[in-house]
Amino acid sequence: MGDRSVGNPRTAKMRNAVLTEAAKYVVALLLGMTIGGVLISFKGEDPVFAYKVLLEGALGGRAAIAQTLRWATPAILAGLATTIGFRAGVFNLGVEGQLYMGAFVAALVGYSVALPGRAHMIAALGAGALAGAAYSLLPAVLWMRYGINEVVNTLMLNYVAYLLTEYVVRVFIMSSSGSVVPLQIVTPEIAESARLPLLFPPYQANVGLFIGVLLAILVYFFFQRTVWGYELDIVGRNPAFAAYGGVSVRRLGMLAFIASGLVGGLAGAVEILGVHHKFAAQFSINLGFDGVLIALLAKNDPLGIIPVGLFWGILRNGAYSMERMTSVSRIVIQVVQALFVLFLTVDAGVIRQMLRRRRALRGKPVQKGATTTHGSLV
Amino acid sequence: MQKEIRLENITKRFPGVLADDHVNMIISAGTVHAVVGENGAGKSTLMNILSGLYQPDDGRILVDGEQVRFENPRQAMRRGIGMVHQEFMLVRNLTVLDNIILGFEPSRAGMISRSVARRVLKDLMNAYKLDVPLDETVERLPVSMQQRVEIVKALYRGADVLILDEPTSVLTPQESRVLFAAIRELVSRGKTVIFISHKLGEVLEVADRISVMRDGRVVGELPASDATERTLARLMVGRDVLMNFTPPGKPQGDPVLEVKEMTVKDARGLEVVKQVSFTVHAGEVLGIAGVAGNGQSELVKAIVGLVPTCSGSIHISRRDVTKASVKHRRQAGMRYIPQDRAWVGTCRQSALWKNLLMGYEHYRKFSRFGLLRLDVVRRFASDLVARFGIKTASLYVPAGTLSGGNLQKAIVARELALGPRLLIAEDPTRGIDIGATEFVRRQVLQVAEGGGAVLLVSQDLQEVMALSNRILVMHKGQIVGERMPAETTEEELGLLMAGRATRGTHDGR
Ligand SMILES: Nc1ncnc2c1ncn2[C@@H]1O[C@H](COP(=O)(O)OP(=O)(O)OP(=O)(O)O)[C@@H](O)[C@H]1O
Ligand SMILES: [Mg+2]
Repeated sequence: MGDRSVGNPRTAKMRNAVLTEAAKYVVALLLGMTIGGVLISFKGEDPVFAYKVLLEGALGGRAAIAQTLRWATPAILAGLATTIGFRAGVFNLGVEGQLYMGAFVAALVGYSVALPGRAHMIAALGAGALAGAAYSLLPAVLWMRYGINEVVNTLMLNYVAYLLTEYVVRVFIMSSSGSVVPLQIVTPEIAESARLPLLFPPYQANVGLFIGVLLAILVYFFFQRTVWGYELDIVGRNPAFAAYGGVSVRRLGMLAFIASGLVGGLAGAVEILGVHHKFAAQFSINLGFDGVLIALLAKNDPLGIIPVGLFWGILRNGAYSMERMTSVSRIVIQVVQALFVLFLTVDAGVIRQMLRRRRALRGKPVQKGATTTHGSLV
Repeated sequence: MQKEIRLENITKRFPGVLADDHVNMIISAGTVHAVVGENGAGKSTLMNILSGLYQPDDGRILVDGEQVRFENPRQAMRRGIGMVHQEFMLVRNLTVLDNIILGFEPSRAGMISRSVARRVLKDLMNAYKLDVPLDETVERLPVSMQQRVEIVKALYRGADVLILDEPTSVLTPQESRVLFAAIRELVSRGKTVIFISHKLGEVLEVADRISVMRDGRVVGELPASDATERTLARLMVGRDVLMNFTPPGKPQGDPVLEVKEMTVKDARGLEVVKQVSFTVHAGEVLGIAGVAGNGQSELVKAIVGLVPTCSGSIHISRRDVTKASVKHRRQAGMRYIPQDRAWVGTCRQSALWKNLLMGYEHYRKFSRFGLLRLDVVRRFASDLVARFGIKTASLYVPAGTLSGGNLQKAIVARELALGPRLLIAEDPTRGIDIGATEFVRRQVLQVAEGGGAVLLVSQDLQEVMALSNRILVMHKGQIVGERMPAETTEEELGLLMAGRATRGTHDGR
């Protein structure tokens, strides 16, 4: 067979495949941006100008880039948390809630415990991660023991998480009974020793970025090289086959579920210890939910999470500066993001076929007599 | 409505593989045209092209002399070409009726009109004597019925040319008879049938003309009346194929598998295996014969550990594994070639090497401290590919790109790789070409010769008779007879399987 396997066309074909893949991303993004552009012009603004402001705000200069990296950090961590679950066939949509728990507990350790030097920071990070893991335990056990659908459970627990943290902070930490807006419901500031070192002081980008990148590489390595990673991958793709091969599907799935929660908790801890330095109720503005979109964009590839996370940082940071400089709300950019994912994940084949059918309908003689064969029976 | 199909110079490449290489074929209207050839010869690919699923890299298709180009199966359907695939493509949780009309819904004022469809289908089923239960969900139907649904679906959508890709590999011999009758009915009404099979006896029985493919090319085309199994086999494989086996002599080592008074219930709580007891000894091949749906598959699943038993016990090499996990049973030396290769036996989206590793990933040979030793794994996988003649572009392609028979070979290769002590094989040669069938059967016998035990469950009575020392017959969840292959006939087994004979030597305890 080897002699007839054709060398050149093969590489050409692979290159083709890579190009079509890239083209899909570009087309999806352009489609999303076009619709975003229409929304912007409704506002009476010039879309080209708005997008230019966005890019400059995200990449124009040291401060802008640092701020982009700051936003890329939670994006990478939340994307990774989601991916770990997805790869194992566990649809953990509770990263947002796990992130809240992680953030809250990290803040708690950050201000109430005294530890020397780096130990404090590491303890706070670890406590946050564990809190996320612990919070994923409930849906994980329900799923493993009783086969209760994890999607609904995790989604619901998100609300529980941010309402619960808000309540605890307000009642037990601030002991306030009056009405306050959520962002004023805060814990005390964490100690200096618990804070993550900044990359370019005074900007907010911090070593959390390295934690995220390193973890992404680690997870990639885990799926590529370890026995558990191998088994989890199969579990995610075909649990029946994994069970047949002797893999304990439920136990491994649960492991992935908790690992996913762990990283979600870590994402929250990094936000608090690196940026906010105190826990504020409802601080996250969908950082955890974005993880789902990011995982989808990266096609669940842990290494892919890194560039997608950076891209997310660009959009988020750029959107803020667009909002400052123009009258366009950053919600428009959230719409663009969602549309991007939507267009990308809609099967490109379906669209191609639709286009073809239209072309065919416009009168090529390919299907002469078609109606009669079909119609004769119906 | 008669259609003549001409394929001219059809060529199709996949990365690393030339699947079809300038194939020419003329399929005359109103005939049964068989396509035979080794695994990976390009039969399914060619038919996928004809039915619009793939587009050829080169060459053309003519229908009644007019050149056509199909971008998708729908367009092929509009020209009256429909295909029933090797792996079915039904939506498992929809009803038969909805599956049939899916995408071709008759409508009345914009609403789907099921009653119209029902009427049309009733006529159609009467005309071709192909009854299907329209309101049952597909997943509750036996495979043979699902296949019939596929056929009715194609006819409903207007197929004049019906492509059947290895239809009999999922059927019992009796069910195959029914299918052949249906094929004759179709042809007598002017339809054309293209029929792919590895069972040459069948091919000679139903076909008018036969095309033989090898390595992507047509190497011979002849009328069935001029062919014999031997000449066909020679054309396909390029040598004579020997199909005489001697089951291992009087066995009798230690018991390897002991099943005692085992009862298994299905999902609905019905007892599908009732108080079954038997023992397989080292050096023995024990065959289990039975009409599909008489508890064999649940019996096997329980022994393997994929469904729980209700009562009774299972011992492997004297160890009680009644409650043990699949993993522990595998560690005790159990291997399993499952009936359902597409869903249970492989992970189609995962790389071939990952499929070949399954079940062995914890072996010290393949991993240390939880890390896979990828170089060892790769050597192992490429060794299996070579030894079992698995045709693939590389170890890294998704297993689903392998041809049906090559996928089956990969499963067999994996399960036989590291000296099984107990091999449980369901239809081990299903979909495998005759050359490879010979090889796989010898491998199965070698397990027994090497001191292992084999439990062989097969729809194919000839296979059971050729390989077993001893045959148990199952009927309605019970063992209704035990026979020695030398002292029985297919007819007698057939009667036992139908539950129409008195109890045999086995007391059925
Ligand atoms: N989608 C695909 N991607 C890559 N390679 C493919 C694909 N489909 C088929 N092939 C390759 O093309 C070759 C021919 O496959 P095909 O399925 O046509 O064989 P076949 O004659 O039907 O064999 P079998 O009797 O085993 O079903 C095989 O080597 C197979 O690996
Ligand atoms: Mg095939």
